Amino acid sequence: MRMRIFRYFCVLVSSLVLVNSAVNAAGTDFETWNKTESKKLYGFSVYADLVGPVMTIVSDKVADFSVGADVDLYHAAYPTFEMGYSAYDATEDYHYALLQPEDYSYKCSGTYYKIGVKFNMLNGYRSKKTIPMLYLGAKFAFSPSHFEIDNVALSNEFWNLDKSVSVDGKGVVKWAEFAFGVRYPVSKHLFLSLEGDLKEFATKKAFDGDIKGGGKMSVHQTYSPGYGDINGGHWSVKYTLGLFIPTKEVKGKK
Amino acid sequence: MKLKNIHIWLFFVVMLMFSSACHTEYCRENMYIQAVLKLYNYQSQSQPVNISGVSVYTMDINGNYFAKLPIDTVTSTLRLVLNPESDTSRYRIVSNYINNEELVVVHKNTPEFVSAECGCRVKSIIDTAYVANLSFQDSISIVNHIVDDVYENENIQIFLRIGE
Repeated sequence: MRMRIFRYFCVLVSSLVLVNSAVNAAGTDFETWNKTESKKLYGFSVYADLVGPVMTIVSDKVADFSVGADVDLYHAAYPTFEMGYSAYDATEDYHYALLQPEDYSYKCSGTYYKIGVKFNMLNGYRSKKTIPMLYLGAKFAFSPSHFEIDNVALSNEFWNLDKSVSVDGKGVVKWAEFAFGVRYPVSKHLFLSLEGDLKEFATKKAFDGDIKGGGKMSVHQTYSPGYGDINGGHWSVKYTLGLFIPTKEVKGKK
Repeated sequence: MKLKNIHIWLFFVVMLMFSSACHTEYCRENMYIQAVLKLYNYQSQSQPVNISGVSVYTMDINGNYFAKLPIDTVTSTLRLVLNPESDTSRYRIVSNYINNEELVVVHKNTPEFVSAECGCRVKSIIDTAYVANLSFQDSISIVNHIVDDVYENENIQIFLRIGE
């Protein structure tokens, strides 16, 4: 919870920087460079999340890195692909809610992939190379990950049983992601963006985990890389810095 | 849409960020896995017999008692907590019309990690059930083999020769 609030605080501060940067970006040089003819393919963008690496530095409970790329078609549709790596230690988050042994821990790590499309709701900029975006989008996401749960209680008062087990294994969680956000060019090739993502329809399938010492356990993952807490809040926010690569101009048509 | 609306957009983003930060982390699953056992008179099989004087104890193979199990006198239901560590659960049933009968349930366990909020539980599939001493028993029936967090269906029925 504390980490999430801290993350949102970082995004809030940086969003103010985004608005300020956007105002300063409207220079004469930029305006001249930004002129182009109306076309189908305006360029390509690659971007990286800035909040995840900061969180990785300040917290020993979470590591998160993600990058993405999209294609600018008509300044209207942006087919998108994103991928990342995330590692999460959920031990402390839940220790207070459920009585577990002292050495209980729950860790999860893995990659995640998202593919979808964003639609720009701003119009009237067809004669510019790079433009501000106010967008809605939808993505299909999945994450193959590894979970490791150590010393989870398997007690039963009626059978005088007081023991704990450790289990680890692999699973894949799939979900749908609905995005909305803003993107603004801060120079000829750089842009900043702030995006809110609503995650829904996560698969709740259980996976077979191997109990240390023998046996199998059916495991419902609580955390998934790229999603976060499956049983918790479904919103996430990211703040990205990106590079825009425009397509070549046709000579004499500028 | 005009660019000046960007501030409204940002406002909604920030509000949603904070709303998603506020969620509670507690278990919403039923973590108590129990088999449902009912006792019937073999002559009137529609109504279970009154179990207000019945006690059920878990016990080990040597006959040592562990604990008394809960019973529901309103629905005349005995709730059998199966042994999560063994494939055989033994119970001692004590009442004025059942003379220290030993009930044995053989089952297959499936441990399950429900979530970080809930922890672990063990579901079971009943293979066999029998009563060791046949003093009052007419027959025993496994109605539903699956033992999980839904108690709507009876798992085991024991028909008794009482009131003859």
